[in-house]
Amino acid sequence: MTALLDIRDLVVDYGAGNAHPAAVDGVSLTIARGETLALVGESGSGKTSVGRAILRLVEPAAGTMRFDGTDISTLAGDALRRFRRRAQVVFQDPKASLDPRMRVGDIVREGIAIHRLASHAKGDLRVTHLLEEVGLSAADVGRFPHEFSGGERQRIAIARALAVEPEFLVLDEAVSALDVLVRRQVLELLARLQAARGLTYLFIAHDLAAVERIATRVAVMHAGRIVETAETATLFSAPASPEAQALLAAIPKIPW
Amino acid sequence: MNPLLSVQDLHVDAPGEGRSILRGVHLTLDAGETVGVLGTSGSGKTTLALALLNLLPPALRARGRVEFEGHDLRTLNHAALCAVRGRRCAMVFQEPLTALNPRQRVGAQVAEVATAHGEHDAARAMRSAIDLLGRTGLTDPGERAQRFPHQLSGGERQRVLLAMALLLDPALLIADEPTSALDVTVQAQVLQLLREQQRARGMALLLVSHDLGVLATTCRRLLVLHGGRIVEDAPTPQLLAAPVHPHARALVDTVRPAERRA
Repeated sequence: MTALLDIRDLVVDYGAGNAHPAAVDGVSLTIARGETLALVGESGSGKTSVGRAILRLVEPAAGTMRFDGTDISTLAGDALRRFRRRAQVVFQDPKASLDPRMRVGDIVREGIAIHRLASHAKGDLRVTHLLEEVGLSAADVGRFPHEFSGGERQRIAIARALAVEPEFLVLDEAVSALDVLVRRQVLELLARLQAARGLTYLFIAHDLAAVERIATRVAVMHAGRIVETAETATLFSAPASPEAQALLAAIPKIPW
Repeated sequence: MNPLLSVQDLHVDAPGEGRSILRGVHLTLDAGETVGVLGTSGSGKTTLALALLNLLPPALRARGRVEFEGHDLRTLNHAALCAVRGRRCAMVFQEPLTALNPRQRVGAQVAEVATAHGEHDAARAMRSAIDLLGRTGLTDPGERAQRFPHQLSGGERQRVLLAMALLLDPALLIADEPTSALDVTVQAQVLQLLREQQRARGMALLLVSHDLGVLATTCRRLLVLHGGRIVEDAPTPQLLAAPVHPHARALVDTVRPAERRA
């Protein structure tokens, strides 16, 4: 099976000079269609930079990135826009990622309009369906982001990402700011959407415990490099790298 | 024996918003006891922690009784309250960057706790501050004491806050999400430090968190705060094994491993 995403020797350097190591320092990874790869590491390990480089929100300094066989590291103009329809992102903080002055309907519709995916009337219907699919209601189109709870706002961000019918989602700490109960509901929603739409996820998190139930495989990052990649069950039962062992040891051991 | 802390029918209202945050909280804590307050966001747990030491913002109104070592903290005059805070009962907040003064070196901030409570020898206050910074696991505490908060990592800053809280050997430490802003491995280290200090000093600990794992590994008794009320109060093993209130059950279920699910 060919990978949906294949990254080789990716380098992201924010130009702090030679004194500072690169944020991403030679990362290679593949993600198969339909799987969830969790990218886990402490703050500063470079995991968010990997996600941003894939989406071309930061320019990689070196390396190759292939998406469905196409080199995406040098895409520009229309070709880049077409790629971004296929690859979307949900960020950690929906308070920051949703425009507070736009109504929910317009937020979700914007991508449909930019990519000319539907006429206005059909777009309306699509927005309604999306909101219902993520557990909100058609009546929410006229409301503003601040009228929703944190979990509901994250559902809006997910609906916005799905509006352009992507194949691939970068979920960058997408549930980290949520309460445990809300987190569980949003994770269940993401799993349902993945099954229904055949989505592929890159799930970025700082906490191993958060990825146990959603990830197919886990890659552990440290200081700009991937130090271990393993099936989720294997990583939890027999972590090989000191970094994975430390992350696992840090999960509080509840005395059941 | 009287409990160290006894809270009777504590209410906190936000009159400006027309809502109640705490709706009749009762709790007691014995000397040396470790109690965790578990709550999701909006449950009122931070308000509870602040209300205990009369630290609520002016827009909030509290009523009820908060008795600590025989004094009703809610009616104590300012000078008497200041003598209790920091000396007999100390607090650690979630976000050390906002809890520390950005323009003062951290050693001086720790030493200030001693001088504010009557230590006249500034050099001696600084010595005990540096000594305690070392015991909270800061490497090279003499050098770290000279730094400003922004020159320390998040874990180091939280150790500084803990040193400030422990300097006068309080009988009760209230810690509100003390590790939530930290990386998971640093969180584990700071929790370990908190447990060691609690045990070594025999002080009581009231630990407030949304994280059942953090509480269950640190506290012997757990309270579940929901909608401004304590809906469950049980020894940790009992709460884990057989939570009674539906909300408590839902919270326990989020961390229960697959092989223990019914």
